[in-house]
Amino acid sequence: MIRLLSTLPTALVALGLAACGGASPAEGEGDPGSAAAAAEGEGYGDRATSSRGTFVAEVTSAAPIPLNEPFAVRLALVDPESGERFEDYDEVTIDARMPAHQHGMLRDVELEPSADGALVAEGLLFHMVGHWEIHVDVRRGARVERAQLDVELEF
Amino acid sequence: MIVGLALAHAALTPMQAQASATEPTHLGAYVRTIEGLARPVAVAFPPADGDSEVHGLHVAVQGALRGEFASPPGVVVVDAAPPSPEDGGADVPVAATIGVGVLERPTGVAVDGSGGVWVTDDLQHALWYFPAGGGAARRIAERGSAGGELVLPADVDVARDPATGNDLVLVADAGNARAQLLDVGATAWASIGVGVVDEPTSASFAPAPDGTLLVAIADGARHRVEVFALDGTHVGGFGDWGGFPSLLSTPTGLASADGNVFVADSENHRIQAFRVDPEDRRVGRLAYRFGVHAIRPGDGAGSLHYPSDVAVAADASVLALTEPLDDRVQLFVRAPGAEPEEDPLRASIGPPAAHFGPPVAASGIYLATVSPESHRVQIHDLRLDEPVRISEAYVYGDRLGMMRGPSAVWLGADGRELLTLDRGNRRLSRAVLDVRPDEPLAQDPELAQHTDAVDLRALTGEPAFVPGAVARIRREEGDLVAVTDRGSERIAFLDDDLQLVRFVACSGHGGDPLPGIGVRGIDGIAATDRGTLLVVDGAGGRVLEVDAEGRALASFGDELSTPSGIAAAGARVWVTDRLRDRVEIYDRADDGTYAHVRGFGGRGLGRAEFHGPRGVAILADGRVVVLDHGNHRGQIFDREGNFVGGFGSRLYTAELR
Amino acid sequence: MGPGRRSSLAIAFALSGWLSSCGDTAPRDSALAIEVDDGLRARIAALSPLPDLPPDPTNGFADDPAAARLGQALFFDGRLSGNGRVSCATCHDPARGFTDGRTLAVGIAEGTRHTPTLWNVAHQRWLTWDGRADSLWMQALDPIEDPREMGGSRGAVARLLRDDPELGAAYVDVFGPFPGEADAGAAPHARPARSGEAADGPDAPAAVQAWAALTDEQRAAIDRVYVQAGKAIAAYQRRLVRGDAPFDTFVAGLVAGDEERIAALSPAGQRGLALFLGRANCVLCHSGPGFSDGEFHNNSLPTLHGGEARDAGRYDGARVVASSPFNAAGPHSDAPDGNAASRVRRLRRTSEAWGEFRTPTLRNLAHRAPFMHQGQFADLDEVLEFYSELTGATGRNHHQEQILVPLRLTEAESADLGEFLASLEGALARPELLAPPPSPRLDRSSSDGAGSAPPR
Repeated sequence: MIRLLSTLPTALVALGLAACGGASPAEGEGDPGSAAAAAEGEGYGDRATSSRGTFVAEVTSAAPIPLNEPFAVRLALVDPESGERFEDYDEVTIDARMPAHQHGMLRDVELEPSADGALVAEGLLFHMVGHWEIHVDVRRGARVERAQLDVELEF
Repeated sequence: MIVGLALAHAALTPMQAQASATEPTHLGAYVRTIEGLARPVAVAFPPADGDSEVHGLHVAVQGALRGEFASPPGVVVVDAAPPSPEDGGADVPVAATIGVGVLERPTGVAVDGSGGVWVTDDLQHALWYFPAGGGAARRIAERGSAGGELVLPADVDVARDPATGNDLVLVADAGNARAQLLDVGATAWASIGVGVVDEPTSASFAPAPDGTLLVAIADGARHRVEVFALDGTHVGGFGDWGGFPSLLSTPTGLASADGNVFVADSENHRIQAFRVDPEDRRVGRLAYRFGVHAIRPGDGAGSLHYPSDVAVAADASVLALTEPLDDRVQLFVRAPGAEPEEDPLRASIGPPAAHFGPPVAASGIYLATVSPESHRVQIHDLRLDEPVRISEAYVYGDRLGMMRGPSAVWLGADGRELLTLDRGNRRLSRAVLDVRPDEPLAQDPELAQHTDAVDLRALTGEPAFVPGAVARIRREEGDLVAVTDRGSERIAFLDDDLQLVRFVACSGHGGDPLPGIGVRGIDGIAATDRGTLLVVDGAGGRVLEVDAEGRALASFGDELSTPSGIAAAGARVWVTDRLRDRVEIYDRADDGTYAHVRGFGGRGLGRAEFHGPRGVAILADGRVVVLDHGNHRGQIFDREGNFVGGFGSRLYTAELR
Repeated sequence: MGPGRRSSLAIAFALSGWLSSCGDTAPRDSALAIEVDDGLRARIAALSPLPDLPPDPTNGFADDPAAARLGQALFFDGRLSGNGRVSCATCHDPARGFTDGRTLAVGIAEGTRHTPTLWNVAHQRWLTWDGRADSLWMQALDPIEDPREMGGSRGAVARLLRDDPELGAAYVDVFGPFPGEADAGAAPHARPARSGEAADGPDAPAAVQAWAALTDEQRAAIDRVYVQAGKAIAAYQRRLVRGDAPFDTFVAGLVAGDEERIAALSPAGQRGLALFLGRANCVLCHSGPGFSDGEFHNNSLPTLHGGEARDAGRYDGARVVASSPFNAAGPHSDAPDGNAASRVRRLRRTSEAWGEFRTPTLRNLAHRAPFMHQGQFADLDEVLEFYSELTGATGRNHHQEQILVPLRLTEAESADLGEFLASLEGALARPELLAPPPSPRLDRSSSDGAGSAPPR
């Protein structure tokens, strides 16, 4: 399920990510802004169209999503018709859950704008192996609409 | 009128309680049950310094139209003094009845120092005052969202302001998500809890340790109790959703005594007492709790079943709680010790987990039920005789894919489309279900994908929108989703993109009533295959058929008293009648009129007997599922109404087998 | 979504279907008793070796040998307690795997939880059973003032460090001069009110009343010395590392294809490992080289007192850590904007955490019985028996995460799992850390004890 998105902007690779050295629950304390902290190997990338086709969410991470280590993702919202950046919304959030175990992440993550206009969330952490859903929820007025991506976390 | 009584002798007599005054005691020893009250929902005792007998228990009853205990809505007053052993088995005489002929669906009651009685009525969106001695009743508040107006008021309390000597009246204004405080002397209203509470189910005055008066508001959506100063300052709160000690599951009643706030923790079937102190960082700390869920149907004598309200006599000698589903009030007195001894039953049975909420929906071979305790929607496969649960959708919370008090479900597209309403978020949510009717029966914890949702208050501009029921109407010119607003008795019609198409008034509230419509107590709805909508007029005792513009086309249901759930397939319509414990079946004739075909039911646990039947749903093969809410089970009938099966917890389904 | 994730009706929701079953088709004439394909090899390799210690930027003295030496002295010093007799080591006894062999800890009085081990404690993300601390130094502070644990106070600790010549000198060596206001005058036994205590007035404990009487400057100075004491204790506890277990040798051998090292894990232990990763799925929570996901779960354990659970566990712990001035984001942290600070700021607190407790590490179990947060299971056999049958499991709440199904282990399977767990006993590298040091001051000219760099 972990796929590399072929259309990824190359600038992403330089995006700083949390260190994911040892799989110790104490977490690495490496500088999350350091490009050198990005691990080797294929990163994560996936895209999903929202349930009503209003937007496309591209979620990418320069390193593979680690087990029980914090990681950062970049979120780009795209207009499915024009291919331009999708900006017609009031609020966007990102979260993740393990539906089979009926729990989510144990932390709240916030999306911060990055210099290139995309959004970056740091400090996501998947503490169990198995199927995780990443939820990108966009609110426009009274309505909230979801794009859902799937991660099968193995180790 | 005489109501029945059962008596236990486990607790302290008043004399014993007095003798052991220096030793710590607590409230919570079961002493007796007052039975035969018709859906008692709220209780109150008079204040200590008032003119009324301190043990004169005022019980708000919503009434019933059946059987030997048939009675109208109102307030009955009974003597709830702790009994002495020689009282054993005696009936409790009703000392007085109040508000009969005025009240329609009382929700809360309070007694002031002069013996005057304050009552909230959510069908009328009203606060009533009944002076002592039988003077003329006065309606204090009308429906609305401005100051001094109410929508679906849920509770009332009264106390004397220690600073001014004025009587203060506190109303849980559920639809407007606030409490309102009326200074009777100044006739001035103030709102409390705006932005803090989502679903105020109860409001009560509580004395602080320093002698000042606090306001406690139970929030049924957040499962908390919020505490405010009289000036509206939020000083903190306690509770959170769950079943473990100190957590709450839909708190619906509050009372104060001994420095504690007693909470009717309704869906945990217990009373929890919290020591409330604004100076404490936690504000409320669990002091003790009592009550276990009834094991067998009708179990009482200290076993609790959805306690809805709680009151403590001013001398703190007796605590009363209402259990509307079981038509009874139970009384508890003081017992030695700072807290009750742990009930071994509690550890062995654990928290309840097998209840079904009122709504039910079906499509294809699939059935959706609601678990009120978990706030989850359960999906069942009904290809066999009995439903097999294959998945759960939604969890508790406020994000998309989460629910706080699901109030309605609708299933369509052969089980692939799920619509759900929830009270706490006041939201319509949609999910697609990856059902596979052609593959072998299998469980799939990831069946549901949550797609979108809409905030109904923001969508309609109705600040007191309280979602009730939902249905999708299939039409050639485009489907509509119909959502009822219990707060304004209106129906919002949404397009497939969840945009508002129109918002149709069914009553004089909040808009011009359409000709021929005058629904009060809007309940279930069902779409017909002709693109029309059947609307249950819960208090009017009938069903209306309306088109998508809201025009009334037909009205039927002379047999009905308190209709609740409705389902339609082809020309056939099924309606549940909540208080009559019956199901009625109708057929539509070619001329558009409806004729009663047959009906069945009656209170009981046997086949085709019910205890407050609510939701009803029809499967693709014609089988009909009736959600027998008070019996924690569902019953399945064939198209003609013959019993074919049941499901639910073992003890409640034994007589079906 | 696809059909692969659907489970048959015979299997509860909790077991996801992806786990490969590890059969016992042992290759002949090999130290390897189980069949290991590339996928399983990778999953086994993910459990070893114990990685380097994660840095702790919230503690600027975490890897300072002199701080560790002072911390070691404080760890064994009963004078930190209210009665002068209870030290950290009273409950965290080095001879018992840094636990005490009791069901519930006994310091000044009996507590409500079992003493957790300190081996490899620096690898934990959250400390204590309920994670009420997010750093080792923060954790070290709470038991000192807990009336049932050590019953001491920060005022008394600050006074002890100032007044004791050796401790004082060691303190100055590491942290520099004492803050000027640290002398709290006539009432050294002073601390803030704890949860549930009166903060002032006649109902407040004497130490709390003394604290209320201090100036803000005095309180700040005492807090500073108190926190430095915690950071010194943390620097010592970071060194309590035991890796290099037979299992680690086995994994190294497996990766290198070295039969001799593969033989470090017996055939029974290898079968236990396969169960651990396979059908029993213990690794769901006991993951990574620390054999813990570092997070919190409610496994419906029977309670020590019988009946319903009363301990809110992580639900309370999350509240405490998020609101404490001693957390990683607080004014005493040396990295208030670092990763750990961000972690505690983002902490999500829901009632689903009620009754959850931290997944304990499975390394170095040998001297740690009894087990679980109340010590409810006398030995590992009882632990395995519980997970096999779930006998006595307490009533679950409506809404908890779904993890457990009875494993129905055979006797042979239980024995294999036990053998595997026994292989996680690490080598004891630094015996000098298991007793009070000769002096709280480090002789920087020698290379004794704590003077060396921390192990990995």
